[in-house]
Amino acid sequence: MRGIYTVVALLLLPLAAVPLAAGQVTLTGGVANVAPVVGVASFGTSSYDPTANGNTAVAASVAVVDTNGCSDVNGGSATVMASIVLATDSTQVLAGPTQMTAGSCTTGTSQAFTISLNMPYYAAATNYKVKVIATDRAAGANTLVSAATFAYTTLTAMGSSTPNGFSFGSAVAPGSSSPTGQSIAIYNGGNTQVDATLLGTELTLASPAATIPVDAIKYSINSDMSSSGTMSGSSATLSTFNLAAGNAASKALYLQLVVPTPTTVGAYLPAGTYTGTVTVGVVAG
Amino acid sequence: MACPRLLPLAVFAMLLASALPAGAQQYIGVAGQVDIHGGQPGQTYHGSLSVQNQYSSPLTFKVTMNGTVGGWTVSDPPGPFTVPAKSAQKVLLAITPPDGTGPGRKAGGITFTTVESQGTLTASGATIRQSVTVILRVEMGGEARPDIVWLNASAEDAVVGEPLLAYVGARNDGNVRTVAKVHATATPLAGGDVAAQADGQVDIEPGQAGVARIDLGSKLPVGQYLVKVESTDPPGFNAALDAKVRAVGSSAADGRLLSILGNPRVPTGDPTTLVGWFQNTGKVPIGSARLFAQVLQGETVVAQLSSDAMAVPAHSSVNLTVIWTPGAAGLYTLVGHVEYEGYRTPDVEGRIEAIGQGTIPWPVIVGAAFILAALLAYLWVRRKK
Repeated sequence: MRGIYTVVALLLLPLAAVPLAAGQVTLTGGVANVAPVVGVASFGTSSYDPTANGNTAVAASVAVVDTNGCSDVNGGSATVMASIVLATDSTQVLAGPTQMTAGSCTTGTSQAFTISLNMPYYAAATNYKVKVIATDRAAGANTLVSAATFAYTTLTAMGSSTPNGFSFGSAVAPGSSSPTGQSIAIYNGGNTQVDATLLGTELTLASPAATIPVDAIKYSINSDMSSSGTMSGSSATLSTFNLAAGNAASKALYLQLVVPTPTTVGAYLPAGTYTGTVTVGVVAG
Repeated sequence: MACPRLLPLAVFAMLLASALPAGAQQYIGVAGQVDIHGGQPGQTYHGSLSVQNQYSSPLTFKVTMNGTVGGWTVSDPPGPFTVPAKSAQKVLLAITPPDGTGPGRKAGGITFTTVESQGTLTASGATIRQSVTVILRVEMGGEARPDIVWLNASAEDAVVGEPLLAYVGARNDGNVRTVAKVHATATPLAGGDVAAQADGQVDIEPGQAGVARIDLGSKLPVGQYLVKVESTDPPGFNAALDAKVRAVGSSAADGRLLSILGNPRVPTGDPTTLVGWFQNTGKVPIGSARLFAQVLQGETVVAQLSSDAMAVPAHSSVNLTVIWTPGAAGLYTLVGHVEYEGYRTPDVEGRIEAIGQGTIPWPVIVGAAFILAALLAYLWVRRKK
């Protein structure tokens, strides 16, 4: 049987070497490139809370379809970039653009991508979309602004420059005041404008027992203590504080101790270290 | 000898270090907001907030409510609660506007305050607690039904140079917070142009009463004024008041003419007594009070009358009398006032009817006709039997 096959192959070889006759075409090119199409994008959840003074990870996923195959948008010079944009204005970018991570390939042409984008805490509380730009190895590109949105909620948050406590500074004699210009910096760690709130307690000396009333503490938004207010045990709102949201936005709140002079005969204010508590807060305003 | 403790308060500029480096920023925050629209009384609405602790150690928060909506709100957990480091605690809110709450915007707040004071001090100063307040808003639905009921009006005597004040009381019987507005003028009681005028208003919650204060200014000279008060929103109320501006150091007498009384029907040609009931409403005796009255028939003054002067002790009343003899039958109007200690009361009106001499009064005619009819009926019945 082996001898018969060899004879047939020898007879066919001359036919393969015969020149093309007139009217016949030679195929010398390849398949044309088609730009990738970005499919429907989705988010991990429909609402995200900002993180006080931090970033919030927003998860997004999308399928990119390339008829030239998944490998045309995954690897090499191909990129799939995602950014978070305002739902009402896709030119306003809040996070990204960042390269998305390729996932699985299905049907040979649909490539999944995912990403976790960091939304800053000071981004406004409103609706956002994801914008995806897919570029294949042949530089064919398409852009999608998602129909889906996610809500970024309102965050009212604060930080303080003096989380360890506040000292009124140098020695203060009865009837005199602590130096001006001593402040607590209040940081807006959220995404809404805030006013400051304040309340305090009397300052007490443990031994011998003595107190300085809470109204001896003055507060102001001015370093020279102009237009100052008097601290009390009830919360007061500084409606002119108006600390807008923003990256590392802060304002100073100045405190001063005006030590009273004992008015009753025989009364005195013993020397010592008087301590109390001041509650500093924020409220949207 | 001076007490050795009468020393200047020694305070050392020193801020003790805690676990945190000075100036380090750590944050607390509350995510979410509460904004309810179309709220209905008695219904419970739910919301949630997320309390964040971005400190590197656990924090305990206490929860306080304030304002109208705060009073309607219950939180779960109610607080205090502890939030681990770099974590968040979900807080559920149940807001129940009470029955009877009217439509409109209501507000309040919920405050989360760190219980732990940050830091330990050995120098005079304050440890710091931090708080975040979230405003709670409820827009109550339903049909707004404003209903202001005007109650009364009064005016206070003033010392020259001080404001002359009038007050109008009102009650809100509606279901929405409503502003009630009034206008007042002050005119010299003896007559003349308006010497001062002003507006006043009062903002009243449903079910509450309030008083609108009208400041007629402090430029009125010494004298007596007729203060006319009129409601402008809602309209429908007016009052005429008597107020005095007196000299510094003087104590003005004060009196009121309560009424002018007399026999409502008098025969022409017969003298009739008219009585002015005058009350000393002040704290000082009135040495001389005299009633002045006019009798008018239509617009025509037919008689000018005045009483004898009488003294009136403080907080007492007297009858000031005048005698008038009607000359012709008809309806008459009496307009009178009392003058006392240089002041006068506002005018008071009364009415009187004069009937002609020999004229049979109409009640007599009616009575006689009735008796005659009864007699005729009796005779007719007897005759039929």
